Amino acid sequence: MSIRRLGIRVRFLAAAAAVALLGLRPGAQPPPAVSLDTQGRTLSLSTEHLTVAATLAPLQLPRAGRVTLTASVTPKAGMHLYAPGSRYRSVTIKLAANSPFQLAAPIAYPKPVLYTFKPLNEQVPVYDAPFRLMAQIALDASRPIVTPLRRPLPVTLKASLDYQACDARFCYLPESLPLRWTVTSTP
Amino acid sequence: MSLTQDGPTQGGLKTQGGLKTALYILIVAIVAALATPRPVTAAESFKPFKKLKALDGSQQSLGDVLGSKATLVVFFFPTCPYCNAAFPEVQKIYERYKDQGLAMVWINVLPDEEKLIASWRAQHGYTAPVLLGNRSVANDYKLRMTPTHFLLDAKGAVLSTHAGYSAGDEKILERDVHQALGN
Repeated sequence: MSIRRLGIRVRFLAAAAAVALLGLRPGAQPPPAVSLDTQGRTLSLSTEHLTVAATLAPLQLPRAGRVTLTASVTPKAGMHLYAPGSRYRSVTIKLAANSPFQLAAPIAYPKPVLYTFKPLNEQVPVYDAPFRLMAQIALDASRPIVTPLRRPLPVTLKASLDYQACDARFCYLPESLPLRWTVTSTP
Repeated sequence: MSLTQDGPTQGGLKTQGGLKTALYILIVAIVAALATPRPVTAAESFKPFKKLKALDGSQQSLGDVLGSKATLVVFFFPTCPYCNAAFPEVQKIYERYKDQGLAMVWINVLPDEEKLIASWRAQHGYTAPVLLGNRSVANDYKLRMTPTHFLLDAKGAVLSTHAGYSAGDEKILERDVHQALGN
């Protein structure tokens, strides 16, 4: 009996050590899980606050054309993300600094819901259910990279989904999830 | 006969043992994941931060801000919703105990909000000293949320930690401060 108990204790200690090594202790921030579909269009990311499927289409971009970045975001249970119009950091799509791309139109946001933030007794616009952001993106003609276009040219589009998530007790640190595609710019 | 029976039985026991170990790993992982988020346990020491810029332009290390009896270090940023809910109460604690050996420092973790701090402090009448940190400081302390409070003793060891805010948390914080000051 004592040997059996010893065995259980050894296994428990092994399990605790494994968990510690895996970084599951409170306070550890797991990196976002990322995957890309086989066509290279849809990036899927998952954090402790949300999941997002970000799609860029088309991946061929005529010189004066546009591509559409669509981010389908699903907050995890109990989480909400601040929407434009709140005084907090609202969810948005940002293009990387020095990007050869620019927004061709304002980002399209769905209508948020009003959340009562009890500690300050205020109503705040948030997203607490699946929602979709859309950004129309074009090449920035003022950038030298797009001027010598005589043949198709691969261009990297770097963007991010920036947000701050909160639940009924905590606001988590703001996050910036990197999004990246290779677009073929055509004459 | 016994040998042929023992073989598979021992193999089965090993498999069962493996399954039990896996089950224990799963249980411990679930318990750890469900535990109340705390950046560190009170038994851990507070890693001294490198010198950080203060609002007056000076550079300060942990040693420069430690109080004679206790220090409350709070990580925040100005547009953090729960910080804005908690800080009026935290400021009251600072005013109530600063002459009894309590020091306090608020460390901003988002550099892009530094420009907001001066007007934010003035608007709310906050007087607790502020240092300008960044995301790497937040990572150093494994912060997941703000505000996160570390109550330190005179030598910088962690007495208690507290993350987030809900009404009444200030009473727990004040009780801990009271104890730390030896009152």
